Amino acid sequence: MAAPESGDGNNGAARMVTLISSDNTRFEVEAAAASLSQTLQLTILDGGGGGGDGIPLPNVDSATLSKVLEYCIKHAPAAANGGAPNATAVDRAELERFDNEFVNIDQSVLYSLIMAAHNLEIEGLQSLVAKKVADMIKGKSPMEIRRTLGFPDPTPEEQAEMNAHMLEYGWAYE
Amino acid sequence: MGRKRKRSPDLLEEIVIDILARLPVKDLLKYKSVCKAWRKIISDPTFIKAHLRFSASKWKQDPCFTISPHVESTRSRISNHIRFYQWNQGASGATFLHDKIFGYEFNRVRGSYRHQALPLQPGHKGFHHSSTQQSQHLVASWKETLLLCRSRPRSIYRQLQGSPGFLPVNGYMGMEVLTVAGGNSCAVWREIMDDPPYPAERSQTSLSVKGFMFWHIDKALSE
Repeated sequence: MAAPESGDGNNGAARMVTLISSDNTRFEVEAAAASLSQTLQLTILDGGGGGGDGIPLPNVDSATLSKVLEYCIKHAPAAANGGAPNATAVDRAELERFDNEFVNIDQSVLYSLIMAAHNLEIEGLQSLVAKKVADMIKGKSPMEIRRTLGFPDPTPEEQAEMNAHMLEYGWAYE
Repeated sequence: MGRKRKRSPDLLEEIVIDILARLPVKDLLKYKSVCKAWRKIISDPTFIKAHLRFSASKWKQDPCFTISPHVESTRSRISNHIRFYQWNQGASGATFLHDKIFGYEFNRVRGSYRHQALPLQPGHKGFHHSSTQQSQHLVASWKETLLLCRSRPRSIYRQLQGSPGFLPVNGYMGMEVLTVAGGNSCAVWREIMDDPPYPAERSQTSLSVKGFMFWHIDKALSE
């Protein structure tokens, strides 16, 4: 729909780009999928990432990148439709099912994922993971939060502050 | 992924904000004590704005009010013990949230109590309320729109009851208004540089005590 930048790149096979993870693994994906990342989109529009070049991503390891690309590939068709206003209910339900399953993962993977989504500026993935983490911590006590997120044990001073806070806002703890 | 080098406390502040903005106010109050960084974020006006935007969009889908109405008794005294209930639009009952004994400072509000009063906590997009039937009746029957203005010092609130067709009232320039309607619209403060969208029929001043705003609605409006 948007005016093609460099000739008509959409003739025949879809344009592919190569992404290189921090541990030097190369991933070849459709430009449309990689373009879900605002960060990559500019490079790709400039014609980068094709051929033997590849776009290095020094902040994302291969395990995380493959997970990120799984999301992008699944969401690319809908994104190309401008948020899929004409998608069928079945399509939408399928994407929702995919999203739910996608974030049903180990906490450490979730954290790598949210950092990568942030780095690469993939809006949909950012809010998907943020929502998941919010659901995970909702209703927990401050102490449970600290444990869930792997904070070190509170110092006596911090503990005293936590206790004082609990006294003041007792109702919120019920 | 045994990479413990980057622990989650190092999650970028922006990410933490994105996560916390999705939590209810009650949780946020608790989480001020999780650590200094979180307290700083949760108390930050920018965060509060972001959270309001989030809540407002959610509130549109699922309006909920926190209300604490008080009906004047034959005795002229109103108890300082205020109970807050949460009520979802359309629900048959309300859930008790919390109660609090307001101390001496509540005396300031007493004088303005008549019939029923609804305290509103800014940033909580709702009304606190106390007797289920009463509040439900109250909210459901609002045919008129309440327009609440707060003047710049933000300590004095003004409640305007308006309906189109009345003479314009001047002098509201630069105020912030909160519009509360009976329908699905959501209550959000916004600033107006001009006169209110429609002229006010009459106005009355409400009081802000410890972050809660108190005003009263008279019988004419609650019927």
